[in-house]
Amino acid sequence: MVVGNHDLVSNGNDSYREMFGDYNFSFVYGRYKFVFMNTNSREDAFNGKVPDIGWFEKEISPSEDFEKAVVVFHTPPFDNDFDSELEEPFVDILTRFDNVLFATHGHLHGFNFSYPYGEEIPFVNTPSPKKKQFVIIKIFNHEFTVDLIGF
Amino acid sequence: MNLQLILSDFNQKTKRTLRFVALIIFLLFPVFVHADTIPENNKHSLGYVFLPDYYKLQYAGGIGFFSVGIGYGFFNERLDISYFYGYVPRWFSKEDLQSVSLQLTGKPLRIRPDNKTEYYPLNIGFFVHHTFGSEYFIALPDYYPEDYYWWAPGRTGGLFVEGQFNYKFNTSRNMFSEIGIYYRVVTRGIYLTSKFSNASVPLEDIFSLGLGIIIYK
Repeated sequence: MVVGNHDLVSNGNDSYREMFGDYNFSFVYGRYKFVFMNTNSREDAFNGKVPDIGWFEKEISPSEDFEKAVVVFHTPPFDNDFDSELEEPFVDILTRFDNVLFATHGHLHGFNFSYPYGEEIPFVNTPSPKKKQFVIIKIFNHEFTVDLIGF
Repeated sequence: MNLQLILSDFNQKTKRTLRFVALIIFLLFPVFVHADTIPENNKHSLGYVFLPDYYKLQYAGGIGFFSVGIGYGFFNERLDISYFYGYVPRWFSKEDLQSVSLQLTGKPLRIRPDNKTEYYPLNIGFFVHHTFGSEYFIALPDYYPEDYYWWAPGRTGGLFVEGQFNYKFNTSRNMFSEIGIYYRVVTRGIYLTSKFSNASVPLEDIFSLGLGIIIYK
């Protein structure tokens, strides 16, 4: 699970950390590294620290632990709740090592599959449960499928 | 120092001052406790009339872990206007919280089984609650576009229903001869909105229980 912008209003930052732990975290499963991060720049008044570019670069830098990475965040870099000054460095890291399988995010509420920054990085916008939809993403052999499920 | 810095400094100072004033209001009232000695014929003196009609001490109920309040009764005790200062110690919320609330209580039903006891089975109240602290903003900070949040974490309104017992002592004292206890179920507009837009929100998340004692003038 990854933190969303409305989780952080008022004293939500403390409550969130108490309940769910760090905003930025990662784990490796098989040959894949899953990187979760806070990209809700507006809630921190665009202070230049969200998203944490240094942390992201370290996490995504190639290592023996993983071959491909999946990056999960709430606010996509092209949204105006994302710090526009950090959009370029963020996307640069996403594409620099040619090891990101896809990025997935929410915030825009409707399902979407697109290539906003070129063919290397597909973006999956997962729908809001209010749309009575969710997605199942299956990863295998450095490829993946996206199924949109209605309920 | 640019204008923004000066303004934010000014805001911090204003907030500190407000907090200070809220505290002073409560600290000053015990001074009047010696009004206990006011003789009967002074009950119409200006000092006595402006003395709060009652003091309240409340546990929980959405306005603080504990709260102290003062207030006045109107229309033969059918309407109360109370002002509370509430406090949440940091071991419940990671940081101390201070807040004030203004409450309006209608008391339409009154049962008097004897001349010492009163029971108000269904008081209905409305309150405005103001929490101090920069993260509990009232005006939307300027890094949000207009109407980004329609609600303000620093100021919320709510409703409660309440039951109350009063008891008069047999005493020759002029003052503090009546006490009361009350229990109330409290919710807020923002909680009701959450419940309305998401029915799976559990009731215990939108209602809280408060218990209190009242000491009458």
